[in-house]
Amino acid sequence: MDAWEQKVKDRLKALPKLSSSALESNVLSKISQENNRKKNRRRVQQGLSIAACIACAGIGIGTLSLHSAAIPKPLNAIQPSKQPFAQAFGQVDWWMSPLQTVEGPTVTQLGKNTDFPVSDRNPVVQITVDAKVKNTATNETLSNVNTQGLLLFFQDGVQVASYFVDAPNQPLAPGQSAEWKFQPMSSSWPAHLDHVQAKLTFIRRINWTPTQSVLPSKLQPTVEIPSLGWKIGRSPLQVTMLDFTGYGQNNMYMQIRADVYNPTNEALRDQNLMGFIFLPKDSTSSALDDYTFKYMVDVSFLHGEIAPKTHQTVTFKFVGNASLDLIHRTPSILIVSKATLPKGDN
Amino acid sequence: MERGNQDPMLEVQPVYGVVSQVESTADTELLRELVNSYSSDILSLAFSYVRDFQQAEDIAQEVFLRAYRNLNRFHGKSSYKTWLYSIAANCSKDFLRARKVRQVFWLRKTQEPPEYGRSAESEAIQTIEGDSVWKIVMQLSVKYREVIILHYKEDFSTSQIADVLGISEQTVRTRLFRARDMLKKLLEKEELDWMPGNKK
Repeated sequence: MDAWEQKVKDRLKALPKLSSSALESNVLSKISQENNRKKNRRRVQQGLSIAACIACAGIGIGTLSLHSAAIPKPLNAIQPSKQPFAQAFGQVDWWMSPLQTVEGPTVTQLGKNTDFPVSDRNPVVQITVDAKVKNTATNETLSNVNTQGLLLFFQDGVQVASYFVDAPNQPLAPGQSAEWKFQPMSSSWPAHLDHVQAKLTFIRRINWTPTQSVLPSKLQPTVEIPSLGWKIGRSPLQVTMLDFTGYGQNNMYMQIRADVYNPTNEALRDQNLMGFIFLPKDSTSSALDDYTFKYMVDVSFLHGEIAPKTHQTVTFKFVGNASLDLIHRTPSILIVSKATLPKGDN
Repeated sequence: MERGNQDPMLEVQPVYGVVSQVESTADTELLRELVNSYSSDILSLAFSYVRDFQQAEDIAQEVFLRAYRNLNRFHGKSSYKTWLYSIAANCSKDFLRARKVRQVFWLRKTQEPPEYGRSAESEAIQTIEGDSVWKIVMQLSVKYREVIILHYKEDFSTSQIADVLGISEQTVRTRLFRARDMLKKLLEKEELDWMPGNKK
């Protein structure tokens, strides 16, 4: 570099840097506005997704022939849900369980465990949610067989996380109460959250069989582990999607047929299994992305089980959002086993 | 500033809970870091293009908003600084192009120097605008001015300038050569005593 160039460089570098006191706040304010808009959109989608999940879990899988006359009102009630999900929930009381939260839920955040950080941005956070729940039914015993919980977390009025949770392990007679406790898996907990509030709601688990063309009056349990909670573990089953079809308005009634192979040497009962269907927005999205629709579905085998070293075609039916056609998405299916917990481990 | 995806399979462990929807503000935190680290640089770069503080401020704001919206497209092939400078150069040139259109309609309007209050910003601007070397650099056309600013003021290598401007390194070298030549002639014309041709 010539001397004059060095001089030019020195002169230019010596010039004061400009700064703007308003820039950061303006940018963050705009970002905040954008985030709020996104959150609102996401909240609607989350609500729809979870609602569809619950609808799906509530309806059961079976071999139900879906036609518009048989579709219960709640599905329609959920779809336009631009209001907070809990409110939309309130409109659809037919699937609400008589199990109600009478105290709490209170959220205790024990802080970030820096002794075992997963990463700087994903430290282990210990969250415990406590509540007291009561069976308000007059003639029905409730347990995690016929009741499924949904735990929603809110921060500043915005839903930030949601979990399907179990009802208390021990069956509750009418009028009986029980303490309920839940600890989200720490690695799935958004570490940045602080002072979150929780809402705990219980819905019915209903198995809707083909013989029932209207809302079933008698509840049938989909799992038979009344005194135990269930954990989720990997299933040895191999799943291959055969086809994905939809019908109704915007293909809102969706069906996936899948070939399921049992490579083990023992028969596996469907009551110990549960399926998840993920419909990611595109090939770059992961199953847990915000815009991935997620469905929890039951798995139904012929005669309730799949024999060793055999294939079965399983049909998963689930209901989506009438305003959004999801049929062009590429689903992924995950079958997990609901391993039981020893008594008293909950 | 690490980014990563969650593997859904990892979530399926023997633990209560089924599906979690995790919403992260990591992007916002990252943006805050970027604004804190580079706002002054980006503002100054934008000012070198448009020579108007308020417009430079608007551009800088747009730069960070664009960056935020496209954080998922940043794959770390360049540094955040280079990436932000690249957005800033594009935003500034977009702005200049739009301003050309606007000037067709506002040609008759008297161009008066913008008034700044007696603030740190106005003093900085006056210092910059009053500097003889800066004034000469500003006489260059945008495509030569930008390489001079990036090379001399920001210490960018030709490779980094190529990344920022989205042109080849050879083009950068050519522009730099010509810009240097033009700059030298202009500086000599100004009779600056530290220029070789002006020494008596």
